[in-house]
Amino acid sequence: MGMSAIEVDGVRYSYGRTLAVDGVTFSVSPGEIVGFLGPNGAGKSTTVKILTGMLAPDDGSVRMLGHENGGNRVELHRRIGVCFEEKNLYAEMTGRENLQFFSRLFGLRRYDTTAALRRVGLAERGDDRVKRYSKGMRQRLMVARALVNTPDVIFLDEPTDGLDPVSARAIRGLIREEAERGAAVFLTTHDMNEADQLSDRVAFINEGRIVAMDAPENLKIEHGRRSVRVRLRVNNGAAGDKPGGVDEQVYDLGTQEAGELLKRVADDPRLLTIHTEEASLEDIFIKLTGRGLA
Amino acid sequence: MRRAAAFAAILRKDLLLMTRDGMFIALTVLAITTFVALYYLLPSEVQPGFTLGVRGPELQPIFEQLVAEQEEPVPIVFHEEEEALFGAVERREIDVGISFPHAMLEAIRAGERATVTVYVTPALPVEYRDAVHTIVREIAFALAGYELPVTEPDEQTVIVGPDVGPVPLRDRMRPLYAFMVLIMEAIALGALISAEIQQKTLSAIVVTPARTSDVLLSKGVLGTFVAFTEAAIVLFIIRGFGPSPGLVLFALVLGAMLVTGVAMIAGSAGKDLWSTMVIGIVMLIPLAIPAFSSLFPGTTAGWVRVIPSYGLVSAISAASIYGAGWADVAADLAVLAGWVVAFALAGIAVLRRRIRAL
Repeated sequence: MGMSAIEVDGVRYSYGRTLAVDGVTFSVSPGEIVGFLGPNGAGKSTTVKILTGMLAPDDGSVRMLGHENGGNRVELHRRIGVCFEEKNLYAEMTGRENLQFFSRLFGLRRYDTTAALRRVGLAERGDDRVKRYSKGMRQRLMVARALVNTPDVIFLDEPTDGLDPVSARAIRGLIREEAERGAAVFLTTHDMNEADQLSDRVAFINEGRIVAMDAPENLKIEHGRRSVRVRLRVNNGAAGDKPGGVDEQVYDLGTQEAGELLKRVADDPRLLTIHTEEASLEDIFIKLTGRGLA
Repeated sequence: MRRAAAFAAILRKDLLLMTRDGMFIALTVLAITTFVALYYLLPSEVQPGFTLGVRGPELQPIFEQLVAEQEEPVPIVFHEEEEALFGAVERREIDVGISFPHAMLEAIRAGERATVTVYVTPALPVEYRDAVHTIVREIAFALAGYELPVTEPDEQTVIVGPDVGPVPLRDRMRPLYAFMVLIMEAIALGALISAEIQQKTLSAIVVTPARTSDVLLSKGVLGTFVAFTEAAIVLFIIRGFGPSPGLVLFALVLGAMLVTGVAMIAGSAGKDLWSTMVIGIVMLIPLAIPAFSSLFPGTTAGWVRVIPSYGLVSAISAASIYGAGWADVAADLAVLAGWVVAFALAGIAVLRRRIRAL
């Protein structure tokens, strides 16, 4: 893999006496999607602010697109796109006007707003004021705005939060397209499923520190527990059995007796279903940090 | 070149948002119509009544006797020295100052002619000047003990300031109208800045090639332009430019910059629209005191002169009502310019800090 789009080394940042980011180190390559996962107050937003040059780190270094610690911030900002969690659009302007305004800030003279609106499914509503948009439409416009300058690094904060499944799938498709184009995508989210589906690698951040960072599959193998969930019919006509009753059992596949257990279950005439199970990212996060993501 | 494009884009966007802001439109229409209507509804004639100052504490008993005989007594302020009397008229603390010579009593009783100097404000109606002449004669008779013949004193009338004749209340209100318009625009601008901060749209701008200074400059230019334009329109309609329109317009530009600084502070400090309005109003009320003070010439207390907006009101008042020129108000404008710099720097500092904290 070539030079990293983002290289972060030992970054620390405090708000007064509160340590928000504590020696964070990671890198993101061009074309890679990295999910940054953690609960509220874990240091995600502060990390993004440091990366986007809105905050200067107290210690450590950030190298992004060749710019050391912010470097030429104007030039750096010309090559990044940011999609905030808050829907910070101009509600009194139309979707088209919002995109036009930001394209002018980037000095783009031939920006095709119609194509950009079409890409996020807003071509028909582009001339409506944003205050009349639904939450999903606003979110799609937010993503379109983050992509105005065809950025080399994209920061996305909860990009599908609260969206209907169709809109969420469309946004995920866009993110993958951008990564395929070569953009490095830095995704901060609470949504473990989204991170699992989209990310090439995920980083768990807790109390300002990265506690684990790897491909989702590797994390599951390393920290998870493989098992099978078995459902058995319990109504055999015996006295006391409720009609339609189901018994559910989980068998750990990591034990020596696993093969024997599976064989016995397979021969059991009461067997209804048998599913393999693997640990979710959320399970692993809880295992590593002792806390959930909420 | 690219910075200019970013600045132009922000300015264009701000202007677009202003024209789509219901509160801004309502305040603008309200300000123009209300103040213009108020101007033309108020009488164009002056109201009767004036205040009198006298040099000659030794004459106090005689004056008190004269006043006691009046149906509507004229308030009298006594001064020890002629210089103090002149200063009081000049500052419009009183409308008329009569300076009797120190040896007047002896002169009149000896049948010699004494010279009485009468200082009047330019706005004093002519008929009041005649009344003053009568007062001087009455005093002479009283001093002589009403023994005829009395040698009447010579009377020398000095108009302190350009003689423009009486000024109706509605014209004295011109600086107030101008300042109120500036205040309303400042509140509207503060609300817009506050909305940008609360809705976090500024966060989206500062991660583009646009710099914080582009945002600050845009707000400053737009706020000044809109406040100035509206105040100038109102003053134009109510014929408030006087013989020196350039001077009035320059004072308005400074005034618009002053209130834009206030708008930046209020817009940055407010947690929401209402707190922004409260902070803006709390800051602007003291600034309006000189404008109200100008309604009552001669009543301006010394502390009012240190209020930042005093130079603005004083310059507009002097130029639009009394026909003052650049030289006459240069000091006021210089002090005002100093305050503008202070407010602009404070506004920029507060807004910059808020943007960085986003």
